Amino acid sequence: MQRGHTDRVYEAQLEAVRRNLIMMAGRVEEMIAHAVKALVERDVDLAKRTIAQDPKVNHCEVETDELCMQILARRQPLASDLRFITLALKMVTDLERIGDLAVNISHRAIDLASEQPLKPWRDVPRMASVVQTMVRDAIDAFVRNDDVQAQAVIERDAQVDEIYTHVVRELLGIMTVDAATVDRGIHVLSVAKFLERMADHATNLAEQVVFLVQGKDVRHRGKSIE
Amino acid sequence: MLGIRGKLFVTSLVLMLAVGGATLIVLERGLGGFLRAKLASDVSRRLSIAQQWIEHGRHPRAAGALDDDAMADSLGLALDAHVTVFDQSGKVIGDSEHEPSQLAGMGSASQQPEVAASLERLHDHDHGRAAQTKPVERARALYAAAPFARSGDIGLEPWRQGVVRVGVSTIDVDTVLDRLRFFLLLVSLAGIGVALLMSGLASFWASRELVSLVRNAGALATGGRSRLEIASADELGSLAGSFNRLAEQLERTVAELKRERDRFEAILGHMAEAVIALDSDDRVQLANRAALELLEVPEVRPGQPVVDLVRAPAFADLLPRVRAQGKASAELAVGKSSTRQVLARAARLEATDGVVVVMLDVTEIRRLEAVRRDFVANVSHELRTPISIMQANAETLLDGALSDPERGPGFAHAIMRSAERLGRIVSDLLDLSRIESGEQPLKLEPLPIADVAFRVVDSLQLKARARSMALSQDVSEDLEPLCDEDSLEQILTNLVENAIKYTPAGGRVWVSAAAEGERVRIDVCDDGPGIEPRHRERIFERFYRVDPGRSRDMGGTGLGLSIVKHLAEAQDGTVELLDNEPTGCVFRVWLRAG
Repeated sequence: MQRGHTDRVYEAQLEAVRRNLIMMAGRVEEMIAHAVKALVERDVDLAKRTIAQDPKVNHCEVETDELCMQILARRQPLASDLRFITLALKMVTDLERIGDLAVNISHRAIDLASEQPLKPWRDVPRMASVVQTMVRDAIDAFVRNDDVQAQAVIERDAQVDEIYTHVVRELLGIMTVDAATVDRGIHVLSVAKFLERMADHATNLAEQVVFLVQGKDVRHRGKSIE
Repeated sequence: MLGIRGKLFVTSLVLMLAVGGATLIVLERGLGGFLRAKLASDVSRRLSIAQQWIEHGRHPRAAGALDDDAMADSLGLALDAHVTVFDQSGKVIGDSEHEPSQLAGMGSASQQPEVAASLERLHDHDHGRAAQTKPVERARALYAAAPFARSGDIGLEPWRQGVVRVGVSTIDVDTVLDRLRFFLLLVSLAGIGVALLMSGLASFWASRELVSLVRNAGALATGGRSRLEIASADELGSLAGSFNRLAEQLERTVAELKRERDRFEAILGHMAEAVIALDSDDRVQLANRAALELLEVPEVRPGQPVVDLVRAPAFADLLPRVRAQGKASAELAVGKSSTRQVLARAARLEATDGVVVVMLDVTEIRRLEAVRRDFVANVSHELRTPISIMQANAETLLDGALSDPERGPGFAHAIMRSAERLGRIVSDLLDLSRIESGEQPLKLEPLPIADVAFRVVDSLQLKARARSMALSQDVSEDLEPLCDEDSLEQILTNLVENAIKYTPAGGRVWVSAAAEGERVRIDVCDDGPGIEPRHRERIFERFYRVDPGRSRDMGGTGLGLSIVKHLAEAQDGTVELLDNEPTGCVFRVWLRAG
């Protein structure tokens, strides 16, 4: 970011917001990875550790919120700084929600650990890795003001949706054949749903980045009001 | 702040003014004093004449009496001075510049000190009557007085005494002095002009060299030039010399530093460990090549926040810890998709409160540790199970089952089976270590693999049929990769056997092969449930089980795939596991084409 404020303290505050966001994104990424790893490897311990990470993410959200509010109140930022701060405020919320979803997956991982897997894990880990890179790239794009990268994240959402549809169809097939699998199938379905929602949040992040850089609102594009 | 020109101007101006002022003072004191002294002696000379003349001269008379005023007038005319005559009481009796009628209005003698002094001397016979008073300056004139005594003419005049005073104007002297001052003022003004001109010229000459020296020194500082030219032998020239020596010294120091830095960078650059130095603000000051490779970043700007490079939360937690404790370490996942496991050791730099982090890639070490740990656990498990079975059955037999003709043989058979299983494990392990150590070098020669495939499929057809599975092969006759016949047969047997074992009943297993460039691939495919991607790396490890409970029931030793891998490698080949579409998996063996 090429900012050049004469006020060093102000500069440092903006920098702190930026750092907090990256750190928070790092934690959330790790939570996604660990939650899915715990699910696939039936590692209850890892799932519990992942759940224990959530308060740290929440703390990070509160801290960043406070910092942004302070900057808004004391510095009255203008133009690109104002957009940066308001978007940072929205972003922490999205990141926090993604963290919550990772906690949900961890709970499912604990539930499923004692059961036989329905089928080899393939699509869910793939989905998780796409979502993870989406979150990382969205935050990367944000801190680097890179709208091209953000656009790429938005486009990857379709990929996640596609995997999701595929998983749902496959699970429905398995569950219709064997009623005993319904219990586990529902759990797996919800995990896929959580991942899909994470991707939506990541897309939100990326859309905000495009807005930040281009000043153009790309939310709800192609969706008319009728 | 005055520039050099300003300073020169002020200096020469002050000099000029000092000289002018001194001249003024000397001229005024000297010349003024001289002129006044001259005038004073003139006054006393005229006074003496007046005195003599009054005492002895012939005087105009009017009506028979001496006319004092007329005498004063003629005296004044003759001496070109202001002559006043007082009688002995101090009353004015004659004046050269006043009419007789005005005389009464003139002030008394007591107001004029020289007259008063002379009047006193009139009666002081000791000091001689003739003594003159010193000239006194008053009202732009110099006055002196002297007493006189005139002996009376025979019968005509009485004895008379009085005081005569002569005054000469000082206006001439003052005029001369005024002219002199005016002239000096002119000279001073001219001096200022000359000072301006001179200072301008002087500063121009002096500063031309200096300014060029300053400009060149500036160019030296910014690297525009390497040396200054020494234009003169004066102080400026030696200053330029000093600059040159300074520049040389600086160049040497810079070169030294550069060598030092190059050496430092060479060491850092060739270190296997990643090194990152952070300042007190957690910004990257330095990152070596290994760090960039390990963190999968193309470049690092100095001053970039370290969160841009390492995002792992464990790293963010490490930094405050190292600041508090001085030293700390953590293991974390780094890289674009967090695939590399890294041991980060951090130390605080006391001087700057910065942190140096050394990161070691332990991905491979951790993987090998897992392999070893699992191997020890698995091998003990694999060996213990048949031994426990043998022990339990032997105990049962000893406890009386030996004499039970009905159930006794069953226990003995169980012991037998376990012993066979142990034997298989041991012989597989021996095979494996033999292949690994390369004790028996394999004979690699072009071999038509269609025969081998046919033999393997044929020999396992029975097992496949027992599980109502379709086993087939489709290998072209002209494929002749470099391989060892026995080894290839064992590879295919192990793979096909595995496929039959783990594919659900009614499934399909087939062998195919094709040439691809310099290599030949042989695929053993099935349409079973497939194997999760996470097992792919490890499935070729000894005793590694995808599903521990199930595979042991199948009677495998857990070494089959490991043997496959080692045999393939012994023949300059590789083996990999791929997904089959739509389901199932493919074990693919690559061999060199003959």
